[in-house]
Amino acid sequence: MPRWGMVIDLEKCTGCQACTTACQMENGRLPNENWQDVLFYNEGEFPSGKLTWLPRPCMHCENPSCMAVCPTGATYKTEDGAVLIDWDRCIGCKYCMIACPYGVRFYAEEKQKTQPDIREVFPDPDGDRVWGPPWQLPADRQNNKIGVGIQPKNVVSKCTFCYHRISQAPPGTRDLDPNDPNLRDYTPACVVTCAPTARYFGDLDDPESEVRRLIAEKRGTRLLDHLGNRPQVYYLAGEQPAIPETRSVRMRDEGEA
Amino acid sequence: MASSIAAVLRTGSWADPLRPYLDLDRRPDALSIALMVLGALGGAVGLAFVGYNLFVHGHAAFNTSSDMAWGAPIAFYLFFLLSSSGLSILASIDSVFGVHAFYPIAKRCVFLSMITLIAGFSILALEIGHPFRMLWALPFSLQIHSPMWWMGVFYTLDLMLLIVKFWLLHTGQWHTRLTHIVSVLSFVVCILAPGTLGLVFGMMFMRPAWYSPVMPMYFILTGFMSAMAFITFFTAFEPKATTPANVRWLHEATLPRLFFLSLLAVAGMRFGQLLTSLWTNYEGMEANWYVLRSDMLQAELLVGLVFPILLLSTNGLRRNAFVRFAAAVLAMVGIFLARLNLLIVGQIVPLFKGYWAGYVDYWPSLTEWMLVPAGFGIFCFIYGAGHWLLRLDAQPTQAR
Amino acid sequence: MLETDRRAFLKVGSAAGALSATGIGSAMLAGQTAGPARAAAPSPTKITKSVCHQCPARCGIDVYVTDGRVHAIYGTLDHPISNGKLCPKGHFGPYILYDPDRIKGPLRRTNPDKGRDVDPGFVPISWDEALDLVAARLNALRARGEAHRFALLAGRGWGVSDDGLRDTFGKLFGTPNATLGHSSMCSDGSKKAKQALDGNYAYNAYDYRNTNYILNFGAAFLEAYRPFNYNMQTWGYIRTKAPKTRVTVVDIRVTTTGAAADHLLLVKPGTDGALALAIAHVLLTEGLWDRRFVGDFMDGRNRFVAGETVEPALFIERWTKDLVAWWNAELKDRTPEWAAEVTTVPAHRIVATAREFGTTRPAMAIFERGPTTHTNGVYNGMAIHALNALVGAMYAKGGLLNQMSVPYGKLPWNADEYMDDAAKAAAERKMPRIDRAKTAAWPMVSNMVQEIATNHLAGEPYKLDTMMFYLSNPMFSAPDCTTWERALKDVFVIETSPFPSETSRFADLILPDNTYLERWQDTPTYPFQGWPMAGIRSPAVPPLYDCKTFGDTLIEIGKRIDGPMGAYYRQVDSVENVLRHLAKGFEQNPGDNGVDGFESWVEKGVWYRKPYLYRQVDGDFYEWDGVDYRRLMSEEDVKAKLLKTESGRFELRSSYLEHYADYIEEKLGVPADRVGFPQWVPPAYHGDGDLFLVTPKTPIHGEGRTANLPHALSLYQPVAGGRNDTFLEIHPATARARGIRNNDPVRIISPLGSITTRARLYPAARPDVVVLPYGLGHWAHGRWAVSSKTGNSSEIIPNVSDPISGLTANYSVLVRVERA
Repeated sequence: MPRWGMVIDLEKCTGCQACTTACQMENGRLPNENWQDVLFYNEGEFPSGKLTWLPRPCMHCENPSCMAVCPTGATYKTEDGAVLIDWDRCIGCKYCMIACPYGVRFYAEEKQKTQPDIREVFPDPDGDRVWGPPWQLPADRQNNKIGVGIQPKNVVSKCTFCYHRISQAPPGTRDLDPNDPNLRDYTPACVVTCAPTARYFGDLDDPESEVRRLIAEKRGTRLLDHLGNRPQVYYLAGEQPAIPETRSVRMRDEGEA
Repeated sequence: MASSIAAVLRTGSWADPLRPYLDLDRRPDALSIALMVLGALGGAVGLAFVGYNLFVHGHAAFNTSSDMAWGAPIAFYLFFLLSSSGLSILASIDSVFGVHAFYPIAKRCVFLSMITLIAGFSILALEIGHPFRMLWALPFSLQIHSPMWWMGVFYTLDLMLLIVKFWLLHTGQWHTRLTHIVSVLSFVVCILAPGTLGLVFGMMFMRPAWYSPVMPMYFILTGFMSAMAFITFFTAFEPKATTPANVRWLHEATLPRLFFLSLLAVAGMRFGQLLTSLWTNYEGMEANWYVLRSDMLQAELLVGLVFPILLLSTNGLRRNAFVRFAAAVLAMVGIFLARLNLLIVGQIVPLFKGYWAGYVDYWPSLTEWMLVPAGFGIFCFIYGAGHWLLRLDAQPTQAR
Repeated sequence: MLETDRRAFLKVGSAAGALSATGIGSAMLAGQTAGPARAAAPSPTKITKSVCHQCPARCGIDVYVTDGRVHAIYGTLDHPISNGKLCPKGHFGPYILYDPDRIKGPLRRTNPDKGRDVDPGFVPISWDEALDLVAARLNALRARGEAHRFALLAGRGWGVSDDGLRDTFGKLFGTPNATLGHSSMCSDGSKKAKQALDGNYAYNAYDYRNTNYILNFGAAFLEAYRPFNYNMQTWGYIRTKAPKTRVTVVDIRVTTTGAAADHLLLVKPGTDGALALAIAHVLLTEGLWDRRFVGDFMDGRNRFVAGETVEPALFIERWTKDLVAWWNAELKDRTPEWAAEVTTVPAHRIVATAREFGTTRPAMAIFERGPTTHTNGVYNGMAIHALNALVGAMYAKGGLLNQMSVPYGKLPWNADEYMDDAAKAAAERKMPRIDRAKTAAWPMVSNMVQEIATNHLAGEPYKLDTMMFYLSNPMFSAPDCTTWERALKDVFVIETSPFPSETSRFADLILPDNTYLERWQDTPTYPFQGWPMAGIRSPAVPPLYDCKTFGDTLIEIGKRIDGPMGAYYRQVDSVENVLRHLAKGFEQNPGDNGVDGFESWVEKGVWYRKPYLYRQVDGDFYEWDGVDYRRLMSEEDVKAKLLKTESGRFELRSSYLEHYADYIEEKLGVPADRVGFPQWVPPAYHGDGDLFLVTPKTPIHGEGRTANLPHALSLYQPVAGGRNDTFLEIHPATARARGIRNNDPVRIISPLGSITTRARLYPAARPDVVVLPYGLGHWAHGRWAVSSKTGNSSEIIPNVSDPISGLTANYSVLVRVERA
């Protein structure tokens, strides 16, 4: 059984947000419900201001605090390392959203920032899901038990590592390489589309996997490692030191206060 | 109108089986009528408004968001639940520790504790996504590593014990062995329940503004203070010329003093907490500076602590029923704001939303505010009915 | 259409699969606002190879269709541009297809009144009625001898089967206005700069993967520069290869490209040329030029000393021409210190950049719209492009190439045989185009779209009668765009966009196109890596609505024109028929992926044939001999195939420009005897303000085709936090001086008027530049597009152009900004 993990090379990442849009399309996300987001940070001033960015999927932690706080066991960890939500067990208490240090969980029952509200334009015909866009994943691939597809109302959702794809990978797969035509459809959407190949996906327990090699050679680091959640998403900073030390850089004097 | 309903109740033979337990023959006093009418009105309007908006917009009717997952409804829920625990502790002073001076308010405290809990649960039901699913998913999951699961366990136990305890007191069983056991159990649970609720917040290491081992203590203490405000609110005008001296002493000296002390204790704890929060550079704690600049926090401190403390600072003031009443109202408003501030300070700094996210923009929506009349409506209506029918001022006929 | 069972686990339901794979039209029947029925039985997924439509790059895409619905689009793995990848816009396809605001069939206007707030009173009309209506109008025009008063303006053209149909249509119909294009609002400046120096009026192809240094002037390599997707693939490679390709970006604002690069030099707008000249100056004074391509002093001693002239006879030039004359006339005084004054970039950084660029090989200097969308745009571009000669990048490995054309099959119908007397008379008459391109007014340009509205209003050279629009909406996008609202009032407007637009609000007839996922179309590549390539779009799903592909609409109109023209188009028949004839060319030239005809072209989605045939190695040009670059090219060969100037060399004194010396002197004040040199010409800033307004394209902006996508809007301007709307990026000090705080509403004012938006205090911005991403502020469009609180920058950008290229000088505008 692999333990899937992702490596994101920030030296290659161009901040284009294709990962975000690919995820939105594959997983039927609402605008702003970015399971996979790209965060932008700014430091300094003209002429030496520095713009950096950080793509942020769910970290699929080894010790997921979201799972620890879930009072119903709706959030669980699979044997192959993904942290998933069983939408049929989730009671919408949102404690997991409080407990996730990385801000990767979403509750769709909020005011839509993009108006008009697209949920009203594409309502779910049965009325029991958040919305029903025509481009959603074919019905036979949607699955409440693993939190894939359009979610029922009043539950929390998050990145699944595209579990509907990775879980179909042939047994013994070491790395899910999107350039391999035989593995492409089992690779997470964000990894498939990433143009500069800043994303790698593979078995963290296999010392011979590409992800393990990259983590070793390019000094993979994890976000907020001191919290002990032990993310299964590693960042390679290289010469592009974009891992923010802060969760939301303090707004300083920019006329904001 | 209320009196004609009461008249129907008094004369109807259908109510006979209830007569041993409900004072159906009694005329409701002005307070009962006022509370029941206001409660019914507030509750009906509030619930109708909230219900309609939830039906039409779902939880998007709230201004909560993926960044501010827990908003005013949770603050309101905390307000009621922690007050409930405080009231239960207050009710245990006599039955567990044998301080008989508290007998005159014991039954009322148990009743208040019960109905604040019910009001709190009602709000929770309106707040969480799947309240009915919770009823089976929570007990069968055995998620022993989730503080929220334990909170569910303890508050359920709490409610059950309160009901039993109230039944025992209501049926006059003040000094039986069963009552004592139930009282002790209830006391233990009403410490554990708010304590666990404190852990729900205090264990969150990823939210430094909450992460604190003293959060359970803070919850228990503020719950007790809030309970003092509740009992003072409802008994400020209780002492009459005919009231026995020992009861007068309870209402005019003991309780206000205890209220005063609890306010001082909360103020001390809050001061220490604020000072620590503002001193530290720890990432995420800048939220405290942000909140410090907000009217909400200033109101919490002034209205909720400084003013009531000043009002209750001398014996003379404490003897004045209006002053006690005013202090209680102010403290209740303050503690409600404190709950809201607590929620905001832990979530105002968004987790990984980038440079431009700034602080999370949150102000409760009208639907959220309407939970106030809804919650208080339910609470007042039941209290008014209890005040009328359940002899809340009952005491043991003889001391043990 | 290629049908593949993508997943092992889906093979179970093969019976059900066969059924729904043929379920043509099921998407139509199921209704547009409802999701798929949640069936238990697995459905097979059909993948159609097509070509993305959200930018000109022509990425091959796999369109995933299940149960008749498009639910995913990924890059095609065996496509040379996309290589299985996509940019953020590529995934928007399903939203575009299922846009709830699409126009669902032909519409006819009933209200003769036209205006922004006037309801056109559209009524549905059948295609036959609509086409007959157009034909009647056009036949009448022709009968009156006024065929020239019919104009057809295209924006993003794709290939022979849409854009390419227009030339013949104009010829047979008898109008010079069938081929009006948008390129003068796009990037004609860079093409013109290259034409001036190397003789190719074309964008370059680039060998990025083999270069070790990119000096990038204002090309948003990681945001908008085509092919964006491939650029990013390249980036991932060149930035982690050994040695790492170093990148310096010269721009006027903080871009992700600049932020990801090694160095970002923020210059004053319009002064890129000065920086490039100073870099050239340092390359020469420090002896860093490529001697094998450029040549050297006879004795090898470098005589380029700042301020001193050089005797031309001492320098033996190889493939450049007039280097010394250029030095003497211009470069000798273009010191870094001088450039520092002009550009505001410190001299030591200019020197450092020049040394890095001059000592790293292969190196290339690239540029696009940024430096050229100024009145001095071509001269800026020439100064930059000259650097490519100095470092020997032309046609070198890791350098610049030119794009080869696709060996399409010839269409079997000779249009000349179908010209009737009217068409021949029109050809004789040589009426000027409505945009006055290639007339005395704009002698050097290829298009002048931004002049059409003014020319029509003035009746100069004449008034239009009927104007048809294809993928172009100048009423929103042209500078001073409100002029179009006056101009189109008395023109019969035919709009073909499948989406509502400003133009459609003024349209008399809407003949809606199919979206790219529903249509046939060929897409020969934009300049990419030199070797030829052509993609093809085939319908992934049958058309959802009663719409017609633009090419077919044009052919259908042609069929209805009286005389031989109608006969011609009955031969042509349809876009699909055209494509089948084009594909015949592949029979003799099978692609590297085995494509040798129409069916295989559709199956693979692309034809391509490597390698590029030419390479310059150490100052010698070689042609591919089937194995390697070994066939030495003669000077005549080089002139005919590569350096197409009059001299057959890279002309540092442009003979092309010298042909227009008087015109250039008149328009730009450059003395006639100097016009040929790449040189510093100060840009003419226009507007009465004190802040430069820059209106860039963000990576999410899909050329007007993503304006109504809430998903796109939600991600629009991430750099400055512009989500769901856009902000005006402004330096905090600049803002403070105007009493503007973060998030405040602000008004941007030019002599043309004002627009409002909100301010974003951005400390990394140049204090004299404000940035407002382009693309929002529609007043007529789909429901999301019109909900933006940001105004349309085109309304306040004056219509000023570079007289040489005709490119709009959009980034020369000075505005005022105040709190709204």
